[in-house]
Amino acid sequence: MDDAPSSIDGQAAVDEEDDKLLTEHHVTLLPPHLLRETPSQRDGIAREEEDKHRRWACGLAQEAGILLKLPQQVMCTAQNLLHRFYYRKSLKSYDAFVAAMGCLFLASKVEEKPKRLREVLFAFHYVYKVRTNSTEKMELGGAMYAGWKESLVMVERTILKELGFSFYVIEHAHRFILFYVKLLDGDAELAQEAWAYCNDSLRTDLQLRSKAEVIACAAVKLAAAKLRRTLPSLEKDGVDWWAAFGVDGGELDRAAAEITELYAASPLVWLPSLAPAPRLTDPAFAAAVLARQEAREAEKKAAQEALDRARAEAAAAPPPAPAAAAADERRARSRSRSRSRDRGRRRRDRSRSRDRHRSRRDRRDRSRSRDRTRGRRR
Amino acid sequence: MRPLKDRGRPWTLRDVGSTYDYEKTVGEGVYGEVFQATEKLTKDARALKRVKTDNATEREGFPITALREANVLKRLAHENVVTLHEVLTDGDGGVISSFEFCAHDLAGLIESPKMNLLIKRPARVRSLARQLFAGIDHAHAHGVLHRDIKAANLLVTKDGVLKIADWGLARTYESDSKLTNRVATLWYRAPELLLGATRCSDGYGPALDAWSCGCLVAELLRGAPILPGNTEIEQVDLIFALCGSPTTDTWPGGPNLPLWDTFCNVDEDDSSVKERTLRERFSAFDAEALDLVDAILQCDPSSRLSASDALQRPYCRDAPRPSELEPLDGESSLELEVRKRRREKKGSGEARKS
Repeated sequence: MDDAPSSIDGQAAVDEEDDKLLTEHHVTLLPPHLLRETPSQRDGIAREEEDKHRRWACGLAQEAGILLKLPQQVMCTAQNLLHRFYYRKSLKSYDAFVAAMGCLFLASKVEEKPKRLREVLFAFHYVYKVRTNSTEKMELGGAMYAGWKESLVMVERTILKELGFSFYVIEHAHRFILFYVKLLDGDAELAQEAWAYCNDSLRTDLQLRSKAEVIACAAVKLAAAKLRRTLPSLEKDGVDWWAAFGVDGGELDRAAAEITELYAASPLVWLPSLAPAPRLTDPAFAAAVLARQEAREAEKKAAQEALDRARAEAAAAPPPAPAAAAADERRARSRSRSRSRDRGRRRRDRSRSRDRHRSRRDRRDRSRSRDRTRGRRR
Repeated sequence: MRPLKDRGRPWTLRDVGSTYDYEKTVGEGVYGEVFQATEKLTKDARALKRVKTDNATEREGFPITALREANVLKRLAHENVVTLHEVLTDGDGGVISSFEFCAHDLAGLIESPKMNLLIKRPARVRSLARQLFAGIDHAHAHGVLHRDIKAANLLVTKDGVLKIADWGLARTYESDSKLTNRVATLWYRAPELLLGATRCSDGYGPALDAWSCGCLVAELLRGAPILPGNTEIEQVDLIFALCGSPTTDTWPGGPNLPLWDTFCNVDEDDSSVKERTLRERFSAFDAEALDLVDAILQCDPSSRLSASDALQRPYCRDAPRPSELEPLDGESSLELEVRKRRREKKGSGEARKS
């Protein structure tokens, strides 16, 4: 694969072509000028406050992912998406809880471990319930469910749009851990500890500023310090082991310090949304979504009934010329179509049965043409 | 890496209604619908594919097939791989992918009485075969499996350039995770899939695309599908009748497959053991073509010719370029339109009869 993560080289060019670069899928590091100020900061949210929300949202995604029995890879990708998303959109526009849902849902698809929308919703609802001591029940088809679902679908799209469909080949530091530990003659315990530091590092946006190799080295170094292991120098002439992996010592120390900082902060249980309404917890919003949904369904049903009626009339009428009947039906269909916005399903059903007929006919035709060719050969 | 879009902010899920003018519907199927449309500003012809969202059960957000297709096609840039220009939405929450427009698809060309003659010419088949292997080889080199090679998924421009389309089933195959064997249309499904392979270690990999390509090239040469099975069991029988029943000698990895015992574990003297009849059955092919098809249609995926090796064979290596052949002008031969025309013709015929 020729998709090596890009470095922060060529900054001038980066400044000019920010959009273009951002949408290229192999870019996992953000250009420095984008890192300078986040959309939330532009909206007057302090960087510390934003970091808190990011950290909290990452925690939510991790927790829900574990509830859903998703592999760590999915949670890593979700957290990566989340940090990148908040370099494009402000916390004032998108609530961290909703963004966490969207990122995990999308990451499960990206990593080919898709979860049903409703499973994701119920997992996050559980997390919400536990963290807020709420007793609200979410029921399938209820107002709350409708509101959450709409928020999730909307935020998923916004993420896709903002990241320009560039979310694959995310290079996680985890990939390097086992490799490094093996080269350093470390044991499983060391690898396990480094892996945990790696997981925690995802809560900061370190992954958008430092190469995966740097984060991996920092995690190994922290793990070794914690377990009081001395790591061998790979080369005899006093070269540090990270230098052998092409990692700069200063960069490594900065990354390690940032990861360590995470543990000084107090755990975050619940943060109120910074986005103005509509909010997930707002019953009025949920009710409005449900009402809209029901109106759509009613419209759909009315259209179906109109179509059925037209068909029944056509069947009851004295046998008209087949062309006229078809035209009638077509007219009825277009009438109902204009009335209904959400007409996909009915049409699909019809085309499905048409497909079945078609394929049967095809098989017949094909076997006929086979016979013909065979006949000719003989 | 291919520049994604030269104008405006790329890939930002624009609204389809405000960016394209609808021309006509050119395809429908279980996957969704395809429209021909014109980009409002550039006047470029595009094929818009509206992915069907699964309304019947529950909307699952953004369809994963569209994600895969976008992912795969952002990685691939090749003359014989269809270009995905952008992904759009419509007011109903539908997701639409905008592709370069091609006038024909191979299934339509085969079925169209007029174009059939052009398609059947040996030089044309040879050119199409080379392009097919070139496109698939590019995908394989980038770690992508197509998994649904068939005539309807191969588009052809009016200049005779083949474009592999419909990457909604495509997957990357870096990891040894479990993948589904229920891919590819039955007639083009490789034997390892039919015998239940789901992992790289079972032989699940690029070879399955090569098999489909081999079937398709033989079909073009012969003028009819070579392995038209109706059920999976019949499909296996047809394959063994053509390629010979595999044994542990001809397919050492075979016994590891879940369904090997069901299909292949028979006594040596059993009458159901079949000989390889491929060379006799395709004796009408010219020598170079037969050599290629023979090397590809091998039951054991590890001894099957790969797409990149196929390109080195004389049949592909010396194939004419599309520009050396006459253009495929005339009415568009997309499968749907050919069928529509035929249906109309047939309808009028039946009316006369009655």
